[in-house]
Amino acid sequence: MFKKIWRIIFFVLLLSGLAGIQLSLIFTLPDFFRQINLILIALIFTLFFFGFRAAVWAAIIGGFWLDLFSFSFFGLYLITLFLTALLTEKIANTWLTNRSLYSFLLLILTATVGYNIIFGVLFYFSNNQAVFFLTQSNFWQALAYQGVWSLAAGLLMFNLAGAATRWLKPVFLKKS
Amino acid sequence: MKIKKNNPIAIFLVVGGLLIFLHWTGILRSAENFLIFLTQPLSGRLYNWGMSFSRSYRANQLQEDWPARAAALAKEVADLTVANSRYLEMAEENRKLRATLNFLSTSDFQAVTAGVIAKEAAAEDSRDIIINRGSRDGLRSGLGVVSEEGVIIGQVVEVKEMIAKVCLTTSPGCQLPAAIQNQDKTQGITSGDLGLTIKMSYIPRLEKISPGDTVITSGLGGNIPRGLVIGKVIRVINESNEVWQEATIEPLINLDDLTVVSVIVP
Repeated sequence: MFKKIWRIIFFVLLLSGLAGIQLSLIFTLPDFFRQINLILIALIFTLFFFGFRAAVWAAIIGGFWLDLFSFSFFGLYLITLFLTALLTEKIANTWLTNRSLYSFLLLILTATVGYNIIFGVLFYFSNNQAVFFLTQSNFWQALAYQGVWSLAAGLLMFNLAGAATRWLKPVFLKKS
Repeated sequence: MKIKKNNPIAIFLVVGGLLIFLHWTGILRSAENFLIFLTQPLSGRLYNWGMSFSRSYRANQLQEDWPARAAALAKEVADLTVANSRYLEMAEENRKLRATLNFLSTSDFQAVTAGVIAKEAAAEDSRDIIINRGSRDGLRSGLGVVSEEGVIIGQVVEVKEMIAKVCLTTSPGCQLPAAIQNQDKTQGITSGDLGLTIKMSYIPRLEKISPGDTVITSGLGGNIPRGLVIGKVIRVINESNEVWQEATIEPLINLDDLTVVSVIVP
């Protein structure tokens, strides 16, 4: 029982810390580095290794912190992160059903694209933006940078987790 | 249809929906303010680390230009020293005149010092900053924000109880009433251009503007006092087939390096 409570406290503190780092540190960095999306990476990691239920909690905790310091409508990050988790869960269950590196990386890439499009749509309609985000070169550049960071983080996490557990499959599936 | 108690979608709808609802009704406000208050010291420290990293990263990138930049800056310092001594004399003369005429000095404003705790990066071309002062400290939208050097860096655009969002002069959509210190005392509105420079549009073609002219706040609107330096004109676009001309202004300080700012409360 106590072990479970400590695990929950650790999970909440970890996500709160990541949100703090994202808001106060990463957003101040030069362009390429400021595209690291720690909360999204944590969300996908949680979804892949701990399941959809834990990912929904990650979306709620991370989204709450990001919304707290955001001046867009409250719930923008909450809803975006939840929809991203839902989309990624559906894709993981429908197409990328094996636990190999390439499916993990593809999942991360899909989640990154999905997150940015969902966020862009919600932000566009809630802030009455003059220019649609898909026509802005900044959006595509940021998405490319974010994709690179997400893949790099995914590669690192997969190898770390692969070393710790036998649950993951090798890089490519072996023919039997 | 029966909804399972542990269904993740139901969990989100209940918990997420409740959070959003409680936020909008204001019930969560005290808890939110407490959390912001609690995390401010850490946010400030993380922000400073990020700024240090950015500064050293940029310095590394600019390393090759250092000798040229140093020479240009030395010349600028010399010019500014001469200009400064002239202005000091004028300020003294101005003070005496005001005292004689019993005018209230226009620089009699209060300033609320604030620390920058985060940046909002919702829009890709925006560089809005978040400061640790809000409506509790008397801030409201429209107030001017100056750097440690006294250069205007932006305007308060949104306020919460404990924090406020400041749009930087280089952010698109951040508009300030401005005047150019030229012969015609040209007036206009500045707005940010791609997050890098500032643009002043709709200037009548016959007004004479030159690169190097200083741009200051005009004081129109009443929220921001007159005379705060916005930047210097670096380029003038004056096409013969256009009704208006346009000036590109460069801020005097690096707006990516802000850690402490002051909000001017008139």
